Amino acid sequence: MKRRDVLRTLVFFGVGSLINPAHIWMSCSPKVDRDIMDEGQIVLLGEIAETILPRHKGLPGAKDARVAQFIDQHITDCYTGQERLDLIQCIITIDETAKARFKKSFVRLGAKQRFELLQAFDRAAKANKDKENIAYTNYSKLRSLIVFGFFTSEPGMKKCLRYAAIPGKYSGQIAYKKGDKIWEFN
Amino acid sequence: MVNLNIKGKKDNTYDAIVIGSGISGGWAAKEFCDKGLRTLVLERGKNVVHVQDYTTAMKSPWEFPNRGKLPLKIKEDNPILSRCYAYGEDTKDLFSDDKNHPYLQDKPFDWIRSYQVGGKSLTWARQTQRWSTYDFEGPLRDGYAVDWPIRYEDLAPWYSYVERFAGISGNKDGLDTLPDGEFLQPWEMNVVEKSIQQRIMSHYKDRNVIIGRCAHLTKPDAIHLQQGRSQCMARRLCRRGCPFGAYFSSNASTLPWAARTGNLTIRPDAVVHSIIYDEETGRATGVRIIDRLTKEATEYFAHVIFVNASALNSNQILLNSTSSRFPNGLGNDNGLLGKYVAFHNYLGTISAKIDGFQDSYYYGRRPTSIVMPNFRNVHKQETDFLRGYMVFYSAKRGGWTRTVEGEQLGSDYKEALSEPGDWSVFMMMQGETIPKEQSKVHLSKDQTDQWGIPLLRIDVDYDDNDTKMRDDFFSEGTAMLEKAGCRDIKTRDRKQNPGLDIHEMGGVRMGKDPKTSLLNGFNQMHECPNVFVTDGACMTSTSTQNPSLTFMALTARAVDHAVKEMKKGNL
Ligand SMILES: Cc1cc2nc3c(=O)[nH]c(=O)nc-3n(C[C@H](O)[C@H](O)[C@H](O)COP(=O)(O)OP(=O)(O)OC[C@H]3O[C@@H](n4cnc5c(N)ncnc54)[C@H](O)[C@@H]3O)c2cc1C
Repeated sequence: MKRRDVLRTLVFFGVGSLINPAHIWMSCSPKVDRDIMDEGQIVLLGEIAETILPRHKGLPGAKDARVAQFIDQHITDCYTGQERLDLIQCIITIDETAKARFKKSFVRLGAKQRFELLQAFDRAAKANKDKENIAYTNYSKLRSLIVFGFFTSEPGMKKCLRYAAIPGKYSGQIAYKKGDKIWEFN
Repeated sequence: MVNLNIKGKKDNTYDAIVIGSGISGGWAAKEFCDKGLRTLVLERGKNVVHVQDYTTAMKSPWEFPNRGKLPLKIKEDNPILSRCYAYGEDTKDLFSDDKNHPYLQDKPFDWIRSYQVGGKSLTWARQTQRWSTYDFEGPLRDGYAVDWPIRYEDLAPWYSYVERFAGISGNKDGLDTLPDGEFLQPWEMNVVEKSIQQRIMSHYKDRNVIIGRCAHLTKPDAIHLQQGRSQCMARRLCRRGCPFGAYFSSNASTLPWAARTGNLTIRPDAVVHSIIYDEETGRATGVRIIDRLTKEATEYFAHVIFVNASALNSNQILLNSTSSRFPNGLGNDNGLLGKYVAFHNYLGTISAKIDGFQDSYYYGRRPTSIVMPNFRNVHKQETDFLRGYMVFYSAKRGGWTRTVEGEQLGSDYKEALSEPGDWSVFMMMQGETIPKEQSKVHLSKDQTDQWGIPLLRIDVDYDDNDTKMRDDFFSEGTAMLEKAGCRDIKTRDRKQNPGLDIHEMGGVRMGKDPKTSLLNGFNQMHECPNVFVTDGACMTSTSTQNPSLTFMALTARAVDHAVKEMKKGNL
């Protein structure tokens, strides 16, 4: 880890905070030795996913769509052992960061604190364009996987997008106004 | 050889044998059956019954354990096949696995196979364009390969003939570089595609932009309804098999039609080993097969044999059909069998963004894209590379995989992803490659597959012409998108292996002279006149069009010729 990165990461947690997820990432490395999620990690992932894609305005969120359960099964089928370890390490890093910042595990945080925590990850991930910081690279991957799991689920597709299993025809031009939902297939 | 099980020769004798039930074999079967010949189709793969065996066709994304993505184990077992964009969790049963179907790569070549009744007619992308006069004249004018023994006029009526039956949607554009056909209603362009079309066409007088032509029933005619097919529902889940029979496949169209005549026998699980040649009559008498499952050998006999196993498989069968008359493969007196193989250059793609058009959207999934017929070297040689390329593009609005403005979390993020994003454009090339003597397939001398057939060795590569053409596409494509008002234009070399275009052609080329070609102008072997090859193996050059429509037309024309010759007693 370069000093420049440490400083950059710190900024996002505000002055006075000494937490750097990248350090936590590295320090918790030895803890992750199983490439299969346990029950607690699935619950944790569910809460992370819900923070990213919350239930809102009566529309389902990540927990309604059982995104964590899907990811658990999907990574077992489709990921290499190393990719699974990285993903699990990523959610543990989020949890350890929560403990360092708020003295509580992520699942015990209130909505505002959860948001604040992942916001820091999100901003840092955005700044991490060169992919130098593995903790944030993996956070971006985790987020993409959550989005994939949600918008390909039945509630995600049918309620949060427009789902037309059998469109019946194609029109090259229909009017669009802000607020109209995307087609599920876009 | 195992267990030679020759039943009564009479039981196993037909008027015609067709090897392969894919796009071209299905057409051969239909034409023979329509003309009253008792026809046997030998197909190496499993049977696939129309509709009934399209097991994933009506599934929603969430009904697949991995929502369409392939499990790691399958990817690891199929490193070649996994590179094919059409191979996914929903379509995997319609492709042939790498492990059980080995071949040897003298140079990297991705050979994508769909061994089953219907072949690749189930999994293809259904884009169909006629060749033009310029395409058939290409080799003669530019001095590569050999002159085609036919011209556009020879094939034009047969294009019409197969288009009417298959059902091709398209617009009458009146272009000499991409002749019109017998079209059903065309698909529409969206607003951005139209805007790009207008801006390119007003700036470049030599470039035409049209809606793609494809084998989809936009508005079925009586002939399509008679086949039991119905209108395209714009689902674009085609490669799972279409329960509406809305796109052309052997399974939906030619094979059931042939079956209804009562003249058709399909023998699935029949891996053709070789064609049997009779020294006395100077004719092929039949075909030797190995049962896919029992490995038992059987022989079938017929007056005429059509080889439609798809380009490289047909080469393999002919190379393996040796006799004392033809020690190097059937009809191969000149040593050119397996040589002059070519494919399509897909190296270049370009992506771009375009502002505006926020009040427009589209409905449904269109199974085609925008097409720009070749504009390079059409009338004379103009560039530092030979021949040219066709360009495809399409525009769409950003989906939920995009990055939105602001933070990527929370209810605002979720809401933003639920709405369409800005427009983007994707463009790609489909270039002609030059058939060369060193681009070849041959048989392994020491390795065989589980059916005792020598493995095919593929020795095909890109050359300078292909990279120059790619670079020309990059600069022309970029300039055109700039003119069309795009920004953030990015070129990308796919770096894909030859073969992944799935447009492999040649090896048994047509030509006028038996010294320099294997087939005559009717796809008939110069040296064994009752054997016809009408799939991609017959192609003298590749041009820039998606090839299968041309295979269909060549096949129907060749059957017509074969039956006339039989009636005259010449076959
Ligand atoms: C994803 C994809 C997209 C494509 N998109 C397009 C497109 O848009 N437009 C286009 O024109 N083309 C397209 N193609 C190519 C098109 O599928 C082929 O050109 C076409 O299917 C060739 O027809 P064919 O009859 O020669 O071979 P196939 O359709 O492959 O049929 C050959 C048949 O022969 C059988 N066979 C092989 N060997 C033997 C043997 N030894 N004994 C018995 N049977 C045998 C096979 O099992 C198969 O059923 C695409 C292909 C793919 C896979």
